[in-house]
Amino acid sequence: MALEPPHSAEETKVLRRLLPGTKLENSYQWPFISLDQLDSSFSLQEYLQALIRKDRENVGALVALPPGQDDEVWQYEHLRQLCLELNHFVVQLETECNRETCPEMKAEEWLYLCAAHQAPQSVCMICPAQRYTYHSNMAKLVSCQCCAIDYIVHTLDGASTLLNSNRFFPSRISIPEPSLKHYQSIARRLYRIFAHAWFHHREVFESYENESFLYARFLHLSRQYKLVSQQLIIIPDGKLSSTTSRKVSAVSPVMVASPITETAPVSLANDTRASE
Amino acid sequence: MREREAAAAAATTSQGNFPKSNRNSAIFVGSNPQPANIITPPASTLSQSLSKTAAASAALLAAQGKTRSATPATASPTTPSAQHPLPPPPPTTSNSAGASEDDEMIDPLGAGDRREQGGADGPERALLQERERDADMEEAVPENVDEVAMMVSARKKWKQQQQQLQKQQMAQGKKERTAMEHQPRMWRTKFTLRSHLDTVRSVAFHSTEMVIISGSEDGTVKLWNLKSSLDRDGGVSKKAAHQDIEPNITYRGHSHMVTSVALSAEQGRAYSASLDSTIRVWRMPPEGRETYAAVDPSLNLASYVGHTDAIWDIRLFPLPGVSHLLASASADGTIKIWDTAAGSSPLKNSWSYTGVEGASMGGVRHIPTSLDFCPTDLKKLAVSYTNSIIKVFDVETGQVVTTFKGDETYDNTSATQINRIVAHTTMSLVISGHEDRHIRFFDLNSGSCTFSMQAHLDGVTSLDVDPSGLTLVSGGHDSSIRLWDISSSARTCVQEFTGHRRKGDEGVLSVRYHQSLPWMVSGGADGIVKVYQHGV
Ligand SMILES: [Zn+2]
Ligand SMILES: [Zn+2]
Repeated sequence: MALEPPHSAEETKVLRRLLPGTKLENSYQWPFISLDQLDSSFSLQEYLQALIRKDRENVGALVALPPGQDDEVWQYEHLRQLCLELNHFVVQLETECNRETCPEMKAEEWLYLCAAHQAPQSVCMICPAQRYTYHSNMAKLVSCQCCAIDYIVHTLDGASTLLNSNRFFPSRISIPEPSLKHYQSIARRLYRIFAHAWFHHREVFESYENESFLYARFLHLSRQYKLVSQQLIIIPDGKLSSTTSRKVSAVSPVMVASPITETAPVSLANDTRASE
Repeated sequence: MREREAAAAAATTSQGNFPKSNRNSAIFVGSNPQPANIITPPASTLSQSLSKTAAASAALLAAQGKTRSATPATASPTTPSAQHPLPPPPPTTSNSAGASEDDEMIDPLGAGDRREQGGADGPERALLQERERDADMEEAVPENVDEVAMMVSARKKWKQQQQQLQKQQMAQGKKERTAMEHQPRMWRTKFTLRSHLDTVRSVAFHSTEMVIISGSEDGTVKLWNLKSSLDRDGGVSKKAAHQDIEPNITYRGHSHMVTSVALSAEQGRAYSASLDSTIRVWRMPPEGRETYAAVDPSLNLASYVGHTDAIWDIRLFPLPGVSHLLASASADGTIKIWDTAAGSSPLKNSWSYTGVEGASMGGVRHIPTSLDFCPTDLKKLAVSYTNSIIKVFDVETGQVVTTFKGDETYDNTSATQINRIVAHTTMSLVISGHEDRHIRFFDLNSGSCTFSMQAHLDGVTSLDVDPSGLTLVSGGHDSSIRLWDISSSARTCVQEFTGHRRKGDEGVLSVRYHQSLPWMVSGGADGIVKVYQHGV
C-alpha cells in the first residue's frame, strides 16, 4: 500500500498531538520547538511545558523571560503551571496529611487561616476543642477552620479558579493592570503549601522535590518577580538538597524586606478571599 | 428541589426527544428565510484555515482515486464515495466568494454528494459555520458565542426561491423580523466552564441531570453541577450567565493526565482513566456540597490496578440495571472488563488483539484506541485498534465475534489510525472516526463498511450519537464540531461551529450528548468545557 498519507505536504512535521493508544514512554516525544515557531493561542504555555520536559532541573532557564515576551504574561503562565503541578504534589501529600495528623494549617510557628471562604475564619466559640469539624447543631454545615489539607486543596482550587477567571484574566496575551496584584496573593498562599510540607511532611516534600524541582522553580520565580516577600520565606535555603540549591544560585539579590503587613498579633496570617 | 425536578421534567417533554419535525426544521435550514446569514459567503475566517489544508486534501483525494483504481479488488462496493470521480462543485449561493473557496468547501461535505450522485432526492445540504471569533470577544460575550454564518449549497430551484424571497424581504424591510420568527433549531453555547489548567481530554454527562464530569491533562477530574445555573424553563438563569461557574469538586488522585471519564448516575459514581495506567473510582459528593467544603477522603472509593501502560478509553455498560461492567482499553494492548459492583478484585476479564484464545504471542503489535458497548446487542463490545481494524468481542467470553475492515486508507502509520468509535443507540451500526479525517459506518452484524466520508479538515477525535439515533456529532483537531443527519442516506452536515481553540496540534477532543435533555458538552485543547443547548 503506497498510499500517500494525508499530511503529504508536511510529512516530515511531527504533530504535537497525543493519539489514543500512545504508550506512556512515547508520549510528548515531539522535537523541541522554539517559541517563534509556535503559533497557537497557547504558545507560551506550550513553550514553558516544553522547557520543563527538556530540563526541569535548570530552574534558572525555566524562569528566565524569553526574549520579546511580556513578563506579566510569562508570570501568569508560570503560576498556572505551578498550580497544575501542585495537583500532583497534593496527591502525594494526601497520603499522610489529613485532618487527624494536621488539624491546623501550620508551618513552623505560623498558623494560616484559609482565604477561600466568604467570611474570614476564626476560632470557634462553640467547640474550641474541635474547631475544625462540622457543627452538628447547625442547620447548614459550617466548617469553622480549615485543617491543613483543606487549606491546601482550597488554596489550589481557589487559585485555579482565579487564574481561569474571565473577569480577572480574560486573555493570555495581556494581563489587565488591576489583576496583577493577584500574583502576589496567589504565590504567597502557594508558598504555604510548600512550607507546610517542608515542616510537617519532610519526606514527601523531598521525594517530590528531588523529581520535580518544583519548589526550586517556585522560589526562583518568586524572587525574580518579587512575588513573595523574603520575610515570609521560612524554608531555610541551605536545607534544600544540593542539586536544587546549585540551580538557584543565580538568584537575583535578596530584595529589601517589606513590613509584614499580614501577620496578625498572635502570628495569625489572615487573608481575605482570593477573588476579592 | 421539587421545582427543579419539575423544570427538568418540563424540559424533557418539550425538547428532550428531538421530535423529528423539530429536527427537520434544523436540517431544512434553507426553507427558512435566513437572509442575513445566507448572504454571508462561506465564512472568510474558515477559508484561512481551509487554505492550509486544501492542498493536502486534494492530494489525498487524488491519491485515493489512484489507489482505488489501481487495486479495484480491495475497494469495497459498499463505499460508494470511493466509486465516483470527484463531483462537480455543489451549487452555491450567487455571491459566493469565488471558485477556490467553493473547492475548499467540497471536501468536508462532498462525500454525501458523491454518494447521491444521480440519485433522485439528494437532500438539501446546509453548512452552518460559526465564525471563529476573536478569543477575547468570545469571552466577553458568552451569550453570543454562536454568531452563525451559514453557507447553503442547495439545489437550484430551491436556491432561486431563496433569492426571490430574500429580495422580497429586503424590499419590504422585514428582514429581521422574519429571521427571528423562523430561526431554525440549532446548538448554541450556553456555558463556558473554566477551571482546568490544561487540555480537557474527556467529558461526560450524568444520564438524567445537568451534571458534567471532565478529565484533563492537568491530572484532575472535575464535577460540574449546572442545575442551580438553570432557570425553571431549563434555560440559563440570568445570574449564571454573568459569573464564573466553579466546579463542585475537583478530584485529585491520578499521577498523570486523565484521558477518559464516565459517570454512573445509578451508582452515584464517577470513573476516570489515566496515563498512569490506573482507573479511579470516585463517589459523587452529596447534593449541595459547597465548592470549598472540607476534603472528604471517602470520596476516593477505589483504584483499579491491572493495566501496565496508559489507559485511553473507558466505557460503562449502557444498561446500569443489568450490570455495572466497565471496559477499558490500554496501550498495554489489552482490553479489560471490570465489575464495578464487586467489592474486591473487580477485574473480570482481559484479552488482547486476538481475543482470550490468542494468548499474547510475540508481544503487543496492535493497540486498542477506543471502545464501546453495543446498545443493540449488549453482549458485544466494539474495539478500534491503531491499525484501523475494528473488532467486536463477546463481552462475557472475550472471543472475537467479528472483524471490520476499517483500514481502507490505513498506511501503517498512526496518521491513519482510528481515534474513536461509537456504537449506534438504536441501529446495528458502529461508527469510527479516523486520524485521516474519515468517518466510517459499519454494519455491526456483517462487519461491512456501509458508508465512508471525509468529515473534517483534520483528524477526527470524537463521536457521539444522540439519544434518538438520528444525529451524529463529531469533533476534530480542526477545532470544529459538526452535526450530521444520519437518518438520511446522505449524512448531511446540518451544523458546524468552532468548538475549541488549538493548543499544539490538537483541537476538539471530546463531544457528548446528554441522554435525556437537549444538551451537548465538549472539551478541548484550550482547557475549556463548553455546554450547548439545542433550541431556537
Ligand atoms: Zn499536613
Ligand atoms: Zn478552606
